[in-house]
Amino acid sequence: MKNVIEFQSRLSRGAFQFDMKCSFGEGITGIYGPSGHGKTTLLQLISGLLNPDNGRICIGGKVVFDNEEKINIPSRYRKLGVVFQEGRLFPHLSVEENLRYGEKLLPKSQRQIQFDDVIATLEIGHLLQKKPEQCSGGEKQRIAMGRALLSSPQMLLMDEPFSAVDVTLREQILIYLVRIHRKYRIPMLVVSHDLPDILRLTDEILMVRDGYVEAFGKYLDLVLSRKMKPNGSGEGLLNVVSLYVHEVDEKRGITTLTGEQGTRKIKVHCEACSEGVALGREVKVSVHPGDIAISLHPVPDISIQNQLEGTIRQLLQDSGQVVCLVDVGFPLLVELTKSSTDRLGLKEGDRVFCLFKSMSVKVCEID
Amino acid sequence: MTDLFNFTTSDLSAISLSLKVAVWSSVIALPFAIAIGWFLARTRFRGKALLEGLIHLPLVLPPVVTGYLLLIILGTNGIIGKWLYDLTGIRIAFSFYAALLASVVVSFPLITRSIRLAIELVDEKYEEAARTLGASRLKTFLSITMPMASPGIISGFILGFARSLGEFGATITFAGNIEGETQTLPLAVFSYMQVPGQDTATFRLVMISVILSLLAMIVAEFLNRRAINRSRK
Repeated sequence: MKNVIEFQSRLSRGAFQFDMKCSFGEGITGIYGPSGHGKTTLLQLISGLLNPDNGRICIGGKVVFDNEEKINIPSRYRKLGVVFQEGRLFPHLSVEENLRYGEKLLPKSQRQIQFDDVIATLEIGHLLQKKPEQCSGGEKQRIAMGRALLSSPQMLLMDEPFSAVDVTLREQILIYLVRIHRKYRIPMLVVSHDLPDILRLTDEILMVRDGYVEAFGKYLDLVLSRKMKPNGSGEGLLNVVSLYVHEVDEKRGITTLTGEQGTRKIKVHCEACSEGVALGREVKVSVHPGDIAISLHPVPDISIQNQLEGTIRQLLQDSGQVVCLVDVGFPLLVELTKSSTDRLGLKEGDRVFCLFKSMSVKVCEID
Repeated sequence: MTDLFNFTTSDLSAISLSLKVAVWSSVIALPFAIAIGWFLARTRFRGKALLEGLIHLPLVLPPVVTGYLLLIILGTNGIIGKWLYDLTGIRIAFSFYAALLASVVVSFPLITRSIRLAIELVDEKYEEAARTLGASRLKTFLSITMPMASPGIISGFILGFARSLGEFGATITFAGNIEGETQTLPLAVFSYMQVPGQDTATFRLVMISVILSLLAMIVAEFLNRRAINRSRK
């Protein structure tokens, strides 16, 4: 599979040293790292808003920057849609004029994305005559996405799309992002300092620290090779799984999901799912590794409904913490204390049960 | 008392001359002020302070000195003026065009300052966003920067216009006090004051001067409000 972006650049600004080499493919790639470590700089270099001191950048097979060949194609020709952290909607134009800004600059033959389609997908049709300042944070973010999309870019670059929005709206933004990716098949780069937000979108992650690439790969591989470590408050770890609706018990408010083979059943308690959701519909769920307990036998007289049987594939020890990878039909990360691991005598290859309450399962619906 | 409203032809020519000079000098200065204002606001280069100093010179120099300098450079015996006269027979000094040029020179720094400030206040982030959407630098300037800076551009224009209406020192030095050709309103007032018994005539012109200035300020305020409202609504 050909890469959409091949990137190598060096940049020096006083105390900040930036030196990265990476490539991005056709799906969604998350760019993760602490604030101020170069994630936004990376996007600015790719989009041409900033020029590296030296390096080579290729987008869609075309060289857009090469300091040796003296090539430097300006932003407007790079055909990238950038969705900025603050939205940056033009305040003196209406929402519709904002949306059409990039579209109008394209000859009709190059307009591959239809206006009516976009406003329907992002549900912003009712805002067209308003001014940006009359819209809420979440609405502004969607308008910014629509504006970038309508310039028919070959890739979308999103800088912290979740940070300007409060927690309850994050799920919303997520849903729209996934909708866009599925509908238009546009590759996306999503920058965020919040790992769960990224993981709900993709498991391809570029880890950035101090201006250089710390690691790149699939999330699980990064965890298991210790490149991705849980930080003190247990924030670095999350399980995200795609499952399908098997059964809905509306009276009890419980929805049952299964894996692809229909063999593994996880019971999920969620109101959102219960509202006339179609059977077989795909949902993404997330469970915190810290919310999962391990038991050597199934526990019958307990309120915990989810008890998945599986095999321990790997055990990672890190001071007082242990991270287990259990194969329950899909990989599940479990966080335990060292003392409990020792007490139960857990080792690789053991048959165990993963227990977690249906309430610890967060649902992110994909429509 | 009825004399107060008895405008003579020289009165009327002074008024129309002032208006002509003020309008034309502002209109001519505006595009240059926008270009230079943008240049100063958005670019960085060595010697920028020098350029800024040169542009602001007419603001701090006594207008008579400005007029004198204009004479030295563009007068018929001046550095450039002599060459121009020998080549084409064109005489700039002591003509309507001299009055026009004097006004342009003194009002230019005012217009430029106002526009530069307005452009500096336009967040470059919006311009960046426009560029990623495919806009050229010119398109970005015309569709984003200028509309967002329009209150400042309008204020600058009106400021220049008002300054031009009140121009005296440079005009009388470089253009002279020729009735019907360079005798603008301030010059006419000054001339009338020199002659005893012309109090009514003087006051007549003073009245017009005040009214014109007030009108300019009212129009400025109105246009300013409208621009601000349009960018908010």
